[in-house]
Amino acid sequence: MVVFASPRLELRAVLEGIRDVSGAVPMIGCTTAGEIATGAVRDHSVAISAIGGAGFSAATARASAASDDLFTAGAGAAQCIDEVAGAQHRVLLLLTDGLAGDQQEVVRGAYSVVGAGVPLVGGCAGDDLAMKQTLQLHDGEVLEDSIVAAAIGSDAPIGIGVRHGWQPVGEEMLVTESRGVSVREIDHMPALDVYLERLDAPEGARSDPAAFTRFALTHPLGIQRRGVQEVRFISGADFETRSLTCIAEVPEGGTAFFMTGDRQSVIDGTSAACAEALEPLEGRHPLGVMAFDCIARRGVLGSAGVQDEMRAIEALTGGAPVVGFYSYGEIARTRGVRGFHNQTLVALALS
Amino acid sequence: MPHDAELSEFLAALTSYESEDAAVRSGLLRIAEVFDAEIAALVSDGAVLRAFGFARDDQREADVLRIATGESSSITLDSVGECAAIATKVGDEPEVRLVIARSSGAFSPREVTPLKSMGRILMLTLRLLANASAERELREMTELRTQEAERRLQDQLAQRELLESLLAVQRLISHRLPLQEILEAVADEASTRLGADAVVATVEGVNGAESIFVSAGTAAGKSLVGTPAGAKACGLEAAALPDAIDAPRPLAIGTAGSDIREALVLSAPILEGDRALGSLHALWTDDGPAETATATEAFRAFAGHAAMAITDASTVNELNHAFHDPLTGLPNRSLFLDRLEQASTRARRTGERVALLFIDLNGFKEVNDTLGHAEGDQVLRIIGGRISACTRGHESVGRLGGDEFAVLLEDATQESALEVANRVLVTLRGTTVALDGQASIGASIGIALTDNDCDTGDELLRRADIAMYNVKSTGESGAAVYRGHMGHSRMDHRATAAAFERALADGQFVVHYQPIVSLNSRVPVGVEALIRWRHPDRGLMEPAEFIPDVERSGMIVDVGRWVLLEVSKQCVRWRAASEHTRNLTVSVNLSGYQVLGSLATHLTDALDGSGLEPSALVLEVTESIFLGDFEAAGDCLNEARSLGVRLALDDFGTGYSSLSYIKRFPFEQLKIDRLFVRGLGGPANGVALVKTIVELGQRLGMTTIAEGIERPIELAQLRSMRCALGQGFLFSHPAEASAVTELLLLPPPAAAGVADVVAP
Repeated sequence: MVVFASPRLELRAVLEGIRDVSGAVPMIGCTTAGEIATGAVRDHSVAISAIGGAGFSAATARASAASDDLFTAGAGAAQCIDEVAGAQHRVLLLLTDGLAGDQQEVVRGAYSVVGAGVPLVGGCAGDDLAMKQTLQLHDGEVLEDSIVAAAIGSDAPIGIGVRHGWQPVGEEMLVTESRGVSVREIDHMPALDVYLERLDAPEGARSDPAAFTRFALTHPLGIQRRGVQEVRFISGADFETRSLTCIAEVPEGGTAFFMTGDRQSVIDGTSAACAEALEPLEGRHPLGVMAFDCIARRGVLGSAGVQDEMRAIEALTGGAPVVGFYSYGEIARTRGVRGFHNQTLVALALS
Repeated sequence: MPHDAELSEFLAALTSYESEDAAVRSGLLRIAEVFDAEIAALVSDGAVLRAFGFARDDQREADVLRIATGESSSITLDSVGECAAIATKVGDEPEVRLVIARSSGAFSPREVTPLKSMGRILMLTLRLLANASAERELREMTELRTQEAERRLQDQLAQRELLESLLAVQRLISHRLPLQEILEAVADEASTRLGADAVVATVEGVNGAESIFVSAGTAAGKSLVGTPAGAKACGLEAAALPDAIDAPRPLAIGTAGSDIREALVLSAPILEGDRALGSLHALWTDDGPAETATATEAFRAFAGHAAMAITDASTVNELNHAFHDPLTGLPNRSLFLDRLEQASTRARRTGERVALLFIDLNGFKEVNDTLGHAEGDQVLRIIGGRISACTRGHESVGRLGGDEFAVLLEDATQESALEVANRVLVTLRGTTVALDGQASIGASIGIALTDNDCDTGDELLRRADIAMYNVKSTGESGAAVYRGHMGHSRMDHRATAAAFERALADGQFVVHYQPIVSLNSRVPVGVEALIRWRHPDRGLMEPAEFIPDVERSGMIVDVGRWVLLEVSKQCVRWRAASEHTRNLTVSVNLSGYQVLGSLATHLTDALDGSGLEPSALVLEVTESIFLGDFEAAGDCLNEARSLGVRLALDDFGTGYSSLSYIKRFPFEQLKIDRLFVRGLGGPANGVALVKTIVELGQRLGMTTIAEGIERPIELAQLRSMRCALGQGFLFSHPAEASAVTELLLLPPPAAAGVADVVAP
């Protein structure tokens, strides 16, 4: 079973309640920044999915004190893959603590155990945007600073889709000076000025931090790496030093471009991710779809947009149950080793 | 190609690890990430030290070793499929090789240098960490002499400094400093770290770039080899060197008459893949480096960084090319318009004014017609340079296409704009083309400035264009600033809807056809239809001269419908005429305005009216049709496609070249603009660009058609790239149907005609 629960609930009681019904079924879960369950997005609720039956096998594992060594924790949680070794199709589901550091290290650790033949999927737990502490759940226990994993084996194909829904605007630029998450110069000019001018930002966003953040929510920075575009949400600006602050590192010397998105493009991204997840199913009807959706996308969508997003998912999944949560980072590795994403929707389809 | 940012990140990440094991694992996985690979492994002396990407119970050691030794270049993984694999040597004693494999496609030679560099950085880190752990052991073994521990510590410090030096060079590459400066830094850092009296780097000029020589070191060292001549006298040239130079070699330096001394020289080639780009030499006049093996390895890392800098510089060049007109090197239309828009946006805020000069050459067409395109190109190049010379640094010049140029002036006034315009006119007056002294180039210059009701790039362009036409209508060269009334007067001298209606009724429009041939056999497989206007006063006019007016007058729909029917009928006649024209196709250029009209009806009318097989009709559209109503254009094309008509993307590469258009619509053909074709037979960059487009077409399952083929060398290179079709003066000029018929109906040339050009 996979449980996505609001951090506001008394989680021990929730797990007890679940176990009263399910018994000692292998279970993983985490706290969220919003729960998704067929047709609706809720806060302060619990979304539960049960995976099983003929043709399926599953095993779970956990690793604690993850922030000490994320690689080792990722590798530790991935050990459960051995228990579904015989299955024709396999996937490793990871639920992690996104506040514990560079989650690509978790992906690397898990990859070092499962190898290229097993895709990785999952998300970072949330805490309703408090950004203080997220919790993980494993077999009736509430954990912190942990990684929980479920190895799922199936006789039928498993599909994974990843999309962000942002579009690049204007010419490519060079990040000529950056330190960690702070972007100071683009094309040898102050980053903030380049940003405001190129995107022709409204007057308010040029001086008012709150207005800037609202504008930045729909205008992230994209960085180009081999074969992939990564999206960096711009969380703020320093009007004194004319720099931009992003939520993840922006490498100096790299190629970058501004991106834009609105409700529709985000929903288009969702549809494309779902379609991608359904493709390997070769026409089989999905038994269920699990969605790991970035919290920043929820911000762009707003409450009405969130409903539209759910409808977009259902339109493609044809009534199959949908479960998921709004996350602090998403995991999807199907090719190469890179597997940690930002601002994306990751969809997992089982058949 | 990894980005430099990724190389810097890689170096920074590796130096943060404290154990060899963590460094190897992180290093290998990060290398895999940079190259988008699934497999990364380190092989030493015939054994796999560490491998990632395999299931734990099946490490595939034998397969990895086969890749390491070069016996195999692929590996098949369960649930992933076949992966292309590559191995590169990264350490000497013992021999260490780095192996990576990926499912997403083969490795290019340009990826080898950065891969090798990353591998070497990994090896250096490992050595540093090995020393560190040895150091820890030493401290524990109190019986060992303190000096020994000291020496080890010194080694360790030296290694750390070396990594910092390399990191410093990385930063310069990331900041895209001029190549010369980066190479100077490489020489400087290398001479400091290795304690050499001098370090020189010589790089041969590649792709039209000038060769570079840099030197660094002590005054004494530089007095010996600080100049290209001095270095040459000492035998330190850019000549290709063997890959493995393990130790400094003795060398006699000095010239006859002065002191001839023995010195030590360490040399390393600067390699891109297997190709030597130049070499790096370190010179000692005393005892040479303290520790030969370490110095040699460090020196090679510096040479690797020099190679990275060169590779990167040429990548930046290529990037620039995409936004620059290959002929004049000036910003192309899309870059110029982008800059114009930005300047207008800035002007709205600052209140300063932006001026746009729209320059249209007079008399250029004659040059082209009489002297040929090659000469015409040369004239455009010269003029582009002269116009640039008329402007100051912050003013931007662009080539908008054909013989149209534009100048953007910021913080401008009407006076300053006119001043620049006059400078341009004066300098052009001096540009007389050597055509029996008779052809001279003039220009009509239209000027527009931003003001309250003109504050966008589009409006500026529109107004400058109107002003330019106003000048042109006088028949003289000159410049004029836009005035409100010009908008009307412009239409006065231009043909109106009524004129086009009359022209259509009187049969003044004619269609010329240019054969499209199979490049392998030179057999025509289709024709491109090109409309001409046989103007009663002005003679035969090219589309560029009247189609914009037809579009503005609203008559394009009617003219377009006539063309569709006319060419369909002609194509039916040709197809019926002979066995080998049975499958002939006809390509028609589609205007953006037609796309928004009732295209489907007109297509049906043309096909029904002529009896032409729909698949014989090819509609050519440019990317510009997507700039308006994207959805409507898309619907219209899909509708056309559903009728069985085929679609070609015209002028690919000259505009926005967004892959999204290609992927979203069912284009079957990709037409390569003549601009690119003309770049063939020249510097390698031009060739690479065409090759990229051809490969792109092939990957997307599209037929590529090269336009404007004029020289046999162009044909030969296009053939070698497997470009399927082409058109151009080399095969036939566009001509009336009757003139083309003969060419089409000739029996296909036998083998004799095929082998006339041999691919290089």
